Amino acid sequence: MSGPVAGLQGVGLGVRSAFWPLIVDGSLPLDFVEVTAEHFFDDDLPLVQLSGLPVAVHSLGLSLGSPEPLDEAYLDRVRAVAERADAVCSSDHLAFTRANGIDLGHLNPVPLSDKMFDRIASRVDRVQQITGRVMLLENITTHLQLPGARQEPRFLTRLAYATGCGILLDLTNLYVNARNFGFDPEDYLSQMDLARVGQIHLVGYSERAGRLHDEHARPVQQELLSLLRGVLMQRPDIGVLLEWDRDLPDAAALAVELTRIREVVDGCRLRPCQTVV
Amino acid sequence: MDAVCALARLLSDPTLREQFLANRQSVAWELCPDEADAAVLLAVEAAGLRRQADLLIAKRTRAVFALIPNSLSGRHRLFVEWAGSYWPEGYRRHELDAWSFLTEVNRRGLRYCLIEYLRLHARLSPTSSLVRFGLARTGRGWRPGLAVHAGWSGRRVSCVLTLG
Ligand SMILES: [Fe+2]
Repeated sequence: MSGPVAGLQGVGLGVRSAFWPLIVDGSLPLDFVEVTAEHFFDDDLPLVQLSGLPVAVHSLGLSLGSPEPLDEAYLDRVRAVAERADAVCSSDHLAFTRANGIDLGHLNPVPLSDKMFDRIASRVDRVQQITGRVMLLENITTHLQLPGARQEPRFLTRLAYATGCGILLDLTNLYVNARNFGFDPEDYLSQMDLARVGQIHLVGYSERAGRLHDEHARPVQQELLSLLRGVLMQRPDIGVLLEWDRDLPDAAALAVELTRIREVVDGCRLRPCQTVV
Repeated sequence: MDAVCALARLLSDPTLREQFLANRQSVAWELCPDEADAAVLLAVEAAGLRRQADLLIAKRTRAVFALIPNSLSGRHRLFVEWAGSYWPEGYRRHELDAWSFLTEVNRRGLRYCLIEYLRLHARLSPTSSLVRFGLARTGRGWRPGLAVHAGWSGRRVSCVLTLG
């Protein structure tokens, strides 16, 4: 497969209500945006105002790894947001949030078994069928490492081949896991078919008591930009999205952060590239 | 039980989690008769399981604090103890979590902020009427107050009147 999986290129930003006016008035240097589906289930913010930019829809709660059937009502709400936003793709996580009647409210890892492969693949098929859009699957951070965890890049790649979905590569999540569990993020990336990556997530990590956390609250650290550069040198056409959820920056600081990412993106685009086809 | 269901139980139930960590084999096999599923549980690292469980509660605490800072202030420990027994569902779970915690605080006869109570009521039950006396945290500290909410045919009126 050649070309970007999801049609997203350049630099994007996760839409948060505080960023909304800056996005709508065009004062930020953006190529695309991502909306969190759940933020718009009840909210009537006019997503059409974003239509000047390509939009990706990201959901948090499809719980693709649950043994229970996919929540069709939930999926329908994701579809409705994707349609309102005229989204180019949807995404969710290689994870579970609910099981056995318990809603844990957050992303948890799944064992990467053959049984799980079939489960996730069938749900991805269903999501793509209902939304009518390509779905991207994102790698999560976790404190809990389950059997098969080191197979994650191959697992995601196989899922992409089997379902036609793409991968949402969260480089911060990868880096946080790599540091906390002591593996090499470059080694992880070498096991993933980057041609299947449709979008990259990036945000600074936090550090407490010797462990890293993905709190979406800090500027992107230099080592994350280096990791980004390594990926974009191979695939300069992948859109890179800045996520920020807490301790939000003001407009000037946000523009600085987006510019730092853009410099890496542009630097890789200008190089003779080795696009994987 | 599937390994994912068992993990959900271990992550959400602190008592079961500690039983499992004290006696992995018997709890794992009890939860998961299937060998492959039990093997997933048996491979779980104790510190990682506790950290992930703590993270779930920490995320809830943070989200609830954003909704009811005055009522939760100084009660983080109470929230953590209580949170293991209640897991709100759905995409409005943070509001439900905050609402249920206020109910628990009220049940214990502890003080909570009437303004936060009214705000949550208006979000979760916009069409149901409410009249309630209590204490409200204002710029001048805690004051006695009266909360009123009414909702009808798409319109809503909410206010808190305080004394002093
Ligand atoms: Fe992410």
